[in-house]
Amino acid sequence: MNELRNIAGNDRRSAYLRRRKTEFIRIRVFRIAVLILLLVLWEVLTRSGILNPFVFSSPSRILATGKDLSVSGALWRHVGTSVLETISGFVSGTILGILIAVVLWWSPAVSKVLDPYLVVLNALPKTALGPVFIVCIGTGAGAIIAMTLAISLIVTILNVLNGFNQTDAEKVRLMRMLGANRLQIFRKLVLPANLSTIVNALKINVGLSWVGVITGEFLVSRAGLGYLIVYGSQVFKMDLVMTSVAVLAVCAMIMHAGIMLIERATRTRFGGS
Amino acid sequence: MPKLLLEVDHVGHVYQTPEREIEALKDVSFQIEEGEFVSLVGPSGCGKSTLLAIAAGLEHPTYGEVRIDGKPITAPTTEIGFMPQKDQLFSWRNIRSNITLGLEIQRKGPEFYRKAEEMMEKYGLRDVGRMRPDQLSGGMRQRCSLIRTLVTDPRFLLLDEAFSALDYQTRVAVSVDIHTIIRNEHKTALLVTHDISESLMLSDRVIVLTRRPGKVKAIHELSALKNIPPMERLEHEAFGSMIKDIWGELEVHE
Repeated sequence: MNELRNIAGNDRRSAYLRRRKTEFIRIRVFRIAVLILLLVLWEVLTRSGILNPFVFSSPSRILATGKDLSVSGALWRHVGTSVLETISGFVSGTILGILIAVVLWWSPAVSKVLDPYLVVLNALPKTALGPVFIVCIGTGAGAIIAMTLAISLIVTILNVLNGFNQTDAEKVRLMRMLGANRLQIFRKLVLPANLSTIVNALKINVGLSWVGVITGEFLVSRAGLGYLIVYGSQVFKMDLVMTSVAVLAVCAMIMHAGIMLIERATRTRFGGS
Repeated sequence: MPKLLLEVDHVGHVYQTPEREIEALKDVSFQIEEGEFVSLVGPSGCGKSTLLAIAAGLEHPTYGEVRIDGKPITAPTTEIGFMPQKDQLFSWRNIRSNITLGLEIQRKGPEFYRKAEEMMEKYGLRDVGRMRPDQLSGGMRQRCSLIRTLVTDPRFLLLDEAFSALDYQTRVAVSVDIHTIIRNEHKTALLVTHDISESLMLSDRVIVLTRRPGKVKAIHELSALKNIPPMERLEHEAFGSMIKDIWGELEVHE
């Protein structure tokens, strides 16, 4: 009798698992189908002349342009430049932002004094500072990285500081009663309790860094994906513009995937929140 | 002859806000001897938590002082162990390293870690040492929280509504469990609570505070219940009338 019930239970379980798997596969299939459908539609509309291929380009023209660019090596140079700038901006913005957040958490007095400045800087569209950077730093990678830093820094400080300050007050009290000094409270409580806040800041910063780099390249550069896009549009080579955008999407996706890996690593190491 | 451990000596506290002054505590005095288990009950907003913060050294009284072993408490001290409202175990540490958190902070030697292992063994936590806090029941977590406090070997324990976050059945079982461990380890404790029957079950003495500003309304020596284990106290003939007395003193209905 018991055995019978177990078998029935196992059937229920495996039926559930099977349903879950088909559901998963079905969603995958539809996702890819959407992409293929859009690409085919794009190709058909431009080939049939309903859309002007010189304005809208087309998947086949993008592939051809991409192939030419990668064979000549130009693609790798531009991608390399942009990726390097993005990573420098991302790393410096994140590290500097977290360090400043630590200082402001450490000293509530400094935090209170600087609060209105942070609010104003956060509200200011950072692209407005672009020309200032160009004049001060010159028309090179320096100005582009400065641009990227300006865009990601303030948001990082505000988000991370907010997380630090919202650390459970009862836990802080417990740490103090155990005799912890401020450094110990930070290392053993505030930092581990805010790992997810920091990983979130990383996620946001990847996107913002690309915004900084592309706007920076629009303004000054001689190389990079942003430069390719601007150059392409100026000489009306829309194939080049679209190809650059496609490559840009791939690069941004890869960096985002990298951050997701970091997130998973911290989660298994520290078990949730 | 029992030794005086904690003295609350004419303590008063006034909070300042831009709008007004709030008198939280007024001239509170009582004493706790070594080995005693004392409860502090009062209606909400009677200054219980203020008094607890002062005794913990987290807050300075406006006047008066709290002394441990004759020394005034002016800052958090490792002589006083603190058991917070919820267990406050850190989710990113396993049970063992939660329990030794205080030893890490106070940079204690290996003999303390050995003692921590012994206590974990003694109170059934050894097998769960590598587990995460969320894998344990509320009662077990509360036990870990107490052991975390005890392994640093404080002279005096402050229990801040330590069981109020648990549901009723768990609360009774856990409070008895925690009480047994504290007795077993010969520790002195002050339990702050709003639960009258909890205070009667566990304590040698119950101190009743009035509503704001908190003053000592009455001190009940529970001599009739002395040496009776907590669960059996519930059935004692005097228990019901004591609850009624204290209930009356709290003036909850006004």
